[in-house]
Amino acid sequence: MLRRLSLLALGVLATLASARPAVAQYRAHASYARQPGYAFELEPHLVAGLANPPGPGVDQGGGAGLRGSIVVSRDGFIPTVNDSLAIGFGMDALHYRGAYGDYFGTCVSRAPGPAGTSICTDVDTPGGPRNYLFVPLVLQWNFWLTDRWSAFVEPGLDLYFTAHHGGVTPALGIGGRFQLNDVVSLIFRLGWPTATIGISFLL
Amino acid sequence: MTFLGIPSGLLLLALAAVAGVSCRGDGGCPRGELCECSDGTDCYLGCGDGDGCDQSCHNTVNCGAVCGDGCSQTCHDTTACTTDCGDDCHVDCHSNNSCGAFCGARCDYACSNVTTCGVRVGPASVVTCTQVSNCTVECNGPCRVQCAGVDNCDVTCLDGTLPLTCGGNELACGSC
Repeated sequence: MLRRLSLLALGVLATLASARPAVAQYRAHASYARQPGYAFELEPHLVAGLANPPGPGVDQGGGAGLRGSIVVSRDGFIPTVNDSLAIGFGMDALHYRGAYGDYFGTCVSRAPGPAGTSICTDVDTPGGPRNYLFVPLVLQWNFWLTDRWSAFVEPGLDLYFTAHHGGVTPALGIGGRFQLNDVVSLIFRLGWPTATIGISFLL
Repeated sequence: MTFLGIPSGLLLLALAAVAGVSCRGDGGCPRGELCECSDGTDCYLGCGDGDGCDQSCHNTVNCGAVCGDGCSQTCHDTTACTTDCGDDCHVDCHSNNSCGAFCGARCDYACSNVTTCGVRVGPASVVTCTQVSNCTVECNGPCRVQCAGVDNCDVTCLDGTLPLTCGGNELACGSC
């Protein structure tokens, strides 16, 4: 099921990205007045996992990460709206604290001990504290609302890695930017599996 | 009200998203509280805080506890019970078919009413075997091993020296 979802999401991303040239031609002379002229967005940020992550982790988590977004079209999907598209990718590291009551796990590593004993040396405990590494790949659909404010929707995928587990999960974020100047913005996004707040550099 | 042109409500919402993660005080198997597993087939316990866990496992087929430093572990009425612990651990393994352990420095390991007890301990450790058929201890540094009611008390000093007989059913690596 997860694999099918992942393939479907990848297909949607690829389709959306490849569909842009025709629309771009149609709107070749559209006004980009509110869009800053940038090709790449670099975004260091703090990260929060506000709900249970995919895989064995539970509860909330926090950490830091970096996101990069490459502009693929200054025209979005809606001809009458000042929108644009970018492909976002990055890396987020989070620590989830876990929750009480889920102490019991499975033995995932053993070593031979004295007198023929086999000693468990590593226990994987669902619900316990865990470190996660997320690698997001998203389509960033931007809406340039005013000279300073912009909003975006980010459907995509997150690869995740944690001890003894890993996988891919659908991801969705909704966020906004407030431009301090032509280059620097405050940026935040709410979503799952992660929410962020940070600084954006439009380069 | 605005801050740098940002509506304050929106700013607070975004900050709460990040700050919220530090408002939870819970964790996995917590330091200092009894973490107990019993009944069923397998019980394997980790230590959410890494160190300082108090772990208890009993009345199962297999038990395994893994912990860092300063942990306390009890295991009884199982078929096979194992322990992997760091330094300064206290372990009580009794009334089992077999007990096995890796234990660090200053380990206090008690094994009683067990068929096979196989333990590897760090420096300055004390191992006590009582009413055990086969008590096999490997000492990685100075240690003392007391055997009472033991059919086979086998102590190996991993530095290659022979264990010393100290009297009173006590063997030692290093000095008595």
